[in-house]
Amino acid sequence: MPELDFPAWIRITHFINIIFISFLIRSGIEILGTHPKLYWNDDSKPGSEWARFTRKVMPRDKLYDTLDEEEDYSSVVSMPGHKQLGLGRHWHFVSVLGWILCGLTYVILLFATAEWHRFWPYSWAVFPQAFKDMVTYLNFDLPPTLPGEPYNALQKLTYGAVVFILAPFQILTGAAQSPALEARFPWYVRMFGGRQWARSLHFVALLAFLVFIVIHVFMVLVHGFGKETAKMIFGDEVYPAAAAIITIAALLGLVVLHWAATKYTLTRPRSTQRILGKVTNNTRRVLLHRLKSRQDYSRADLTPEHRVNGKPPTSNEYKIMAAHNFADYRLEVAGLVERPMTFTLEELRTFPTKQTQRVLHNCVQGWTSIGEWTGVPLRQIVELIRPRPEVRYICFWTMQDSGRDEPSAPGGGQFYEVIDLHLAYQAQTLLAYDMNGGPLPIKHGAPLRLRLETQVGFKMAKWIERIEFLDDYSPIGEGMGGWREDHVYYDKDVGI
Amino acid sequence: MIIRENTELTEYQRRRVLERVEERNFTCARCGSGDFEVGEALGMGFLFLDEEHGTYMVALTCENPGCGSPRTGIRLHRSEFLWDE
Repeated sequence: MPELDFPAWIRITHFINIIFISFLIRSGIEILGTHPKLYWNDDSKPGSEWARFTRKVMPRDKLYDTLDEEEDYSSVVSMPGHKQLGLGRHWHFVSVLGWILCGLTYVILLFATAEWHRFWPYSWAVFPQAFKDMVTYLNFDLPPTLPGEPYNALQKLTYGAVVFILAPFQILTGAAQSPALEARFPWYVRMFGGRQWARSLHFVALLAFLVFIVIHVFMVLVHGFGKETAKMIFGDEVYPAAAAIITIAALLGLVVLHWAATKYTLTRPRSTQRILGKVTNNTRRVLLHRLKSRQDYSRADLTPEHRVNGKPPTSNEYKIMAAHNFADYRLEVAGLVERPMTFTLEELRTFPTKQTQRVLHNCVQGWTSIGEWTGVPLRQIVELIRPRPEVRYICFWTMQDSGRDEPSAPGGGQFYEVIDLHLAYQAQTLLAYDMNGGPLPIKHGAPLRLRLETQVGFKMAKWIERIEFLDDYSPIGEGMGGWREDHVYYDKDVGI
Repeated sequence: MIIRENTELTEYQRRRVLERVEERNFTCARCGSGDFEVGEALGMGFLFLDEEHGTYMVALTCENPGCGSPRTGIRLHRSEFLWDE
């Protein structure tokens, strides 16, 4: 076996890894806080959670939605804190890209040099030796390193497991939470036992990381803070005092970096959304945007009580229209089109093409439910109205006024969402008027809602009253591509 | 098609609704007529944030053939109409 030590690339990637993983953990807690419950079932049935991180009790006699279940965590534990899911997601996705890049660099260099030997258990004897090492630690003693190697047997196996099992597992369970991947490869999410299993396992792996980090740091202290940090700073056990000082300064620098990033994010959210979004949106568009939904869940999979997000319009006009079974409903389809049209609900229901699909709904907050939706494929409407060549986007205007209908929402105005035109041509992009075999319930968007199976739930506008074809969405609202993008800094393209 | 949230009313309940219409001098906002056909009742207390428990929107259709917007509704509490003989 070649001589193993701590070359510069190991030391540099180790340091960069600390930065990214600390941002990942805090932003992950922010995401968890927006639906602070974990399940082993894809229905996300209230009361069936195996873990909850909230004391909120939901009313039984009034419609509540999952926005009401959000928790407001402190910035000390979450990034950026204070119910900022959109900004937390930006940080999580930027950090994961950096983390994967750093990890790939590490693994490539590990195999390009002889350093991979440090993790390879050459003999079965390593395993009982690792157990003996643990017993030695528990007896407040230090086990010896393996002959000619930088680690003892327990370290060798633990570090190897973190690099080659835990980290890839965390990436795979994270990817399994992407609606675009789930929709295109339903077998992938089923491999983990379902979407909520993937989310729960992602959390369990986070706990494993936290336990590892705590023990790892504790062991550095036990083995000798200066001596051990010297290996990661100078590559050898030299200048322990200087190493200790540099390490403490670096850790303080990390705290300052987190503080500055959090402060900037909370005080300049729009600019954070734009800067981080540039990195994540381009990656998402390349990796996920062209994936097409191929879901077909069975009737037995349907969620008995599909969860809800968003509250119905409270205008008198809407209530009267609903009392009359939406007989006065009109869907206006206009904008940059050759043939603007208006449809009654009856016309939509008797459209020549009627499509039904049973699919997994992914809320941006993390919960899921499985529903059956029936309606008109959006591409049929698009073909009828004939968009002009310059059209690139479709805006769905709804009857919901967020300020009036969703008092906990930050900001008001008519709710709208914008999607790319090409998504309208996907086979499972639907204007749904039925759900689970009956008329679409009011709480799920009656009389008409969008189903866009490769995106997270908030893009699927409910209570739609107007569809507008656009060449540019920047003049609408704050110009970010939707009400949630404008007001809560979500990303416009949400394949994950 | 009847949406899930709507309740079909019996003849007796429809008569109670018309009595409330008369008591309140409820008229069509478009043509001013006081003659209505009673439709279904939408339960609103659970669904809508701004509505109290037991409140319904009862569908009324103006019987004036010349009315330009005949579909309207009256807000009633269940105790005002939703019982049977």
